[in-house]
Amino acid sequence: MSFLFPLGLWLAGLSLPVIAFYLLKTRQRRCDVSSLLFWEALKPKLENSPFWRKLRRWLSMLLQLLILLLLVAALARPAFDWEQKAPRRVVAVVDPSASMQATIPAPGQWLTSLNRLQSAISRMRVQDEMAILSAENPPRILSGWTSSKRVLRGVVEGLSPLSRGTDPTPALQLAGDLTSLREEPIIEIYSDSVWPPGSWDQPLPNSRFEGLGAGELNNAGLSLFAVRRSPVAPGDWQLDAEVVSTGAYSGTLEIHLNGAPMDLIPVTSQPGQPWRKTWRGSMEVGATFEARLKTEDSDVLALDDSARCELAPLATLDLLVLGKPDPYLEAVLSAIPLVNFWVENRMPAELPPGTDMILAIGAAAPPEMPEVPLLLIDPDRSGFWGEKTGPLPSVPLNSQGSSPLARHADLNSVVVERAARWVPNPSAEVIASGLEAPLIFGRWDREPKWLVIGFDPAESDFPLRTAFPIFLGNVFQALRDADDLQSAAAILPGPIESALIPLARQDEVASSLGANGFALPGWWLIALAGLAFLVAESFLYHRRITD
Amino acid sequence: MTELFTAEFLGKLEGLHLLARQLSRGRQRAERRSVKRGTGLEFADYRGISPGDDIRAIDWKVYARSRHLLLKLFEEEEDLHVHLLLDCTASMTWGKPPKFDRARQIIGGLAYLALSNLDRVGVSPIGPKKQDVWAPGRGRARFLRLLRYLESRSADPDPFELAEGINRWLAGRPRRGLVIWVTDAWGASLEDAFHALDRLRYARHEVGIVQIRHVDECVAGELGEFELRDVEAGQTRSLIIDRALAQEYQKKVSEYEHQLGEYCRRHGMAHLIANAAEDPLEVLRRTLFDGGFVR
Repeated sequence: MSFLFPLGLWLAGLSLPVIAFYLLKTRQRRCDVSSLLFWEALKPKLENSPFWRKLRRWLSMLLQLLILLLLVAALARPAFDWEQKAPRRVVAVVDPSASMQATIPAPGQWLTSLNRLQSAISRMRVQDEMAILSAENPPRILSGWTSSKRVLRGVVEGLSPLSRGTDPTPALQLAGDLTSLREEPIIEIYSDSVWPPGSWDQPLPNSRFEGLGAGELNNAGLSLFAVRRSPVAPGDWQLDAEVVSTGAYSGTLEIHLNGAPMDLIPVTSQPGQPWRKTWRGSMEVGATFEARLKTEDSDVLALDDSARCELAPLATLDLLVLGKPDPYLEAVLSAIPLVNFWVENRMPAELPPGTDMILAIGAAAPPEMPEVPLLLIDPDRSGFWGEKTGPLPSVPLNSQGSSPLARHADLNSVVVERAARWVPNPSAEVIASGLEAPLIFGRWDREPKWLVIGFDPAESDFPLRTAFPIFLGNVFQALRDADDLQSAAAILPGPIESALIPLARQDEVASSLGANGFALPGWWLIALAGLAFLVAESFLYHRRITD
Repeated sequence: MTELFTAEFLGKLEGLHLLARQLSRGRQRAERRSVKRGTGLEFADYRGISPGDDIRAIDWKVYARSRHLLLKLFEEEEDLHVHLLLDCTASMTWGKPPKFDRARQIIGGLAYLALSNLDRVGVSPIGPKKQDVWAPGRGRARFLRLLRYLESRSADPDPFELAEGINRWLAGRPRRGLVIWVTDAWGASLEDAFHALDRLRYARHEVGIVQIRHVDECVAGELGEFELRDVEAGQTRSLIIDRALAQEYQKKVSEYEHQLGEYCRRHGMAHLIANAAEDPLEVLRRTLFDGGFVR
């Protein structure tokens, strides 16, 4: 047997003060009395005092010394030979997903897992090694193979749970890779195994779950709360909400818009049958939506009971129109909301700050691609956008592909009386063509953005159709900040996490539901018991001797 | 004045004397009417004449006025000897304040009352060493000297039997009278005090005992391991005092005091238990009212 912390043996020196204090405590106190007359009268009783009562004072001291030695031994951490022969190598995979914050049973999955991990670290011997991974996407190696408890404890203290779900598959694969570097490794998974389906179809060898395991967990939560703007109708928004539950759920959902109640609706859901609801509206300014799910039943996961998402305000586009004044075009531009424009005859030497886009008509087309997106209408020459090869007789337009710019704009019935034949830049996408000749083309979905309408709208019936303002509206809308148009979703644990369905079987979990998360090595338990006895013995000594 | 007998103490003694005087007179009328026919100078009362009365005591002036023969009664000049015995054993030095100090204060107070009552008062130390005796004498003028005498007394730390001390005092053939013994009554044995009282009783003294002790002496006190030292005999004894033993001790002390009280009652002795922590004037007051020391 050896000691892992031999310096602790020096504490055995405490036995000297223990003995000294004991002797001080048990020394006979001298006391003057006026007479021993009555004590002598009790002489038979005094002499009947059993010998063992005097003896047990010494037994008491021996017991205290024994307890002190146990404490010292616990601090010195004895390691037996049989323990030293088999070093343990453990890869600890910690699942920080949102479901780990479930609070049943107290103190919750997360704290229980951390306590167990700290316990496992405390039990490590000199020859043991441990690595810690965080089961995130991508997985994080929090600590490589190490025997340093200080390092491992530091890692554990720095852990914090996430507000969303995670896929543990990459972390488990990484854990498998790490174990291949050591002999007889063990993978300890500190998780509730509330994972995406298929993540645990093939359990890792030599692995086990360390946690509370699965139990009767009751939860209902928002799995989706997102708002997005319409890509075609500026200002329009759509709010979506989804509620999932672990059992039959009935409650209410409050929706607040900018802090004011917007809706209060009853919600009922069943396991596997989420409740969904969509709200629509129109608003050009930004807004904050909040959802609060309420239920009378106990709910183990608070993270998914409320959500908040932001609707970004629509940005106004500043448009520079180059070319001769065109009253019809200006009227169309004026009719499109959130578009400011001004007209210049030719390209200024320096673009005014805040210019979002240039619309160049005919000969005003700039020779080089400007810094901002460019829309060319009937350019009179070839350029970086393509090569003008000759005239094109009257042709009908045909939509090509499924460009979002042509959404809701019926270009197929537009007849172009006179146009030019173009060979577009190879990077361009053809949106509409007439008799195989590209007439509307460009690259509006990536930088640098430019678009060519290869004919004079006045030489067609395009301006007479609703397709014209819709098309221009799509062009402007597509220019807006991508964040404005993308869905702004609240950060939520997600349907899998909120449903709290564990993938691991109960027999794969090292500790079942309700197990105590606080664990100390056996030596420490003995030592603590001894310490408690020591204190009690000290208090009770006097009474024990004199009663 | 001294630390033992302060001016306040002496002032209050005077008040106590007046109280004692009233009390003494009242009891005399009620209990000792015939004895009142004394030859003293101080007029006390009238009563009707009876056969055998001394005709010299008839108040002729009253007869001249009322034609009734009334006999004049005078205070009898009683020459009572009051012997105050002071326990000077080492056990009397125990406690705070020491019992010995309280005993001397009580003796001083009793002496003052007796001297004020024109009794002859003597003080005798009862202890292992022979100490000067304050011979019986009369007159309040002796009082201050008596106080100085009391202050110079000491308790001696030697083993001693109370009965032997009383024997020694009786060997001096003191005149019969009232003996008031101020003691803790804790002798060399449980019977020692009883033997001493027997000696006094056999000598036909009228006996009163003021038993003075501390309350702390009557209980075992703190539990635990102790080495107890007898301040009188110097003996030591190691003890583990447990709860049961403490109760036995207390019971033993109570039994002893009860036996002592019963003995005194049976033999017509005044017996007063005084706490050494108690005000000595209160003890003196109780000797007047409760102890049966005044007749």
